[in-house]
Amino acid sequence: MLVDLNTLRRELANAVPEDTVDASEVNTYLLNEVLRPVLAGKEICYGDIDYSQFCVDDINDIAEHYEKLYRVANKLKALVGSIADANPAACKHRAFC
Amino acid sequence: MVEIDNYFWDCLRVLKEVFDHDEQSPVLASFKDREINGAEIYEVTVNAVEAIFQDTRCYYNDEKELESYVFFDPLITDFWKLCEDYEKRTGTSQEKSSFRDEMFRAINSALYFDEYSYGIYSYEDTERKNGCRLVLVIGSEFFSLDQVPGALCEVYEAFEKHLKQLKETLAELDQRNLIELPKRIPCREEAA
Repeated sequence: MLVDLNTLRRELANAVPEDTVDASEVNTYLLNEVLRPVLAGKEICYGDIDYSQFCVDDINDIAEHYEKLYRVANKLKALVGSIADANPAACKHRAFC
Repeated sequence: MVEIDNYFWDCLRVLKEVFDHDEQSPVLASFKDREINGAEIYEVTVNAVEAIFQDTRCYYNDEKELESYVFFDPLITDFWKLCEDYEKRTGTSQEKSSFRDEMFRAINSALYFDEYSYGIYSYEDTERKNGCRLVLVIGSEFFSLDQVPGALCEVYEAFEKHLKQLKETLAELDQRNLIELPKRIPCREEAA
């Protein structure tokens, strides 16, 4: 696989930052107080949970949201792996800095 | 990325169902200081199953590899007692009793799992020692145990709802059977 680093750099610089997975439909309490802390490596106890802040269906939604995030993270990981595995190739034309 | 298995969310869901049923449930207090861990789903679920009705007993049959949960509750006994009372007073047979029919439908609907390895039995005989009971028997290939606490909450709510309706119906019957006493006739004053 050939990666033109100049093009990649230019595209990344022009890219507009956005959420990879839309979080507007999920319960904000579960997102901010459960999912994000757990993803950050924090341990959550049952006693930390305010059960009045969400309903049972919200748990299914947040679980689905996590699955989507996980799939995106895996794709990103695969892309990073591919770039890391690519062998550097010399430029075909002489260039002067 | 940190991996979160589905059992993590199942643990949270089971305790949420317990919370919705009874905010003061001892199960919530007993798990309070424990980290949410999907590996403990069985322990969380069994504790939740035993917390819905007032008295739950669990038996295991080694030979047949069957686990039985027997649920007792004054709510269950009261419902079947009043149901019998209603049937006697209205001369309705058990087969044609709408309360009995609706309750069975509610139990079967709530405790329906997409499985084959389980059975539900209802003992409505009010003369039985310890009162009426509901029994759930599960085999070794029953994989929906985490769905049971939520289903039991539904059954509990159905008993509450139908018991209330029964009480209202019986109160109406009582009203109808009241015989109005004749009004007091004022005594005639005798002429002096």
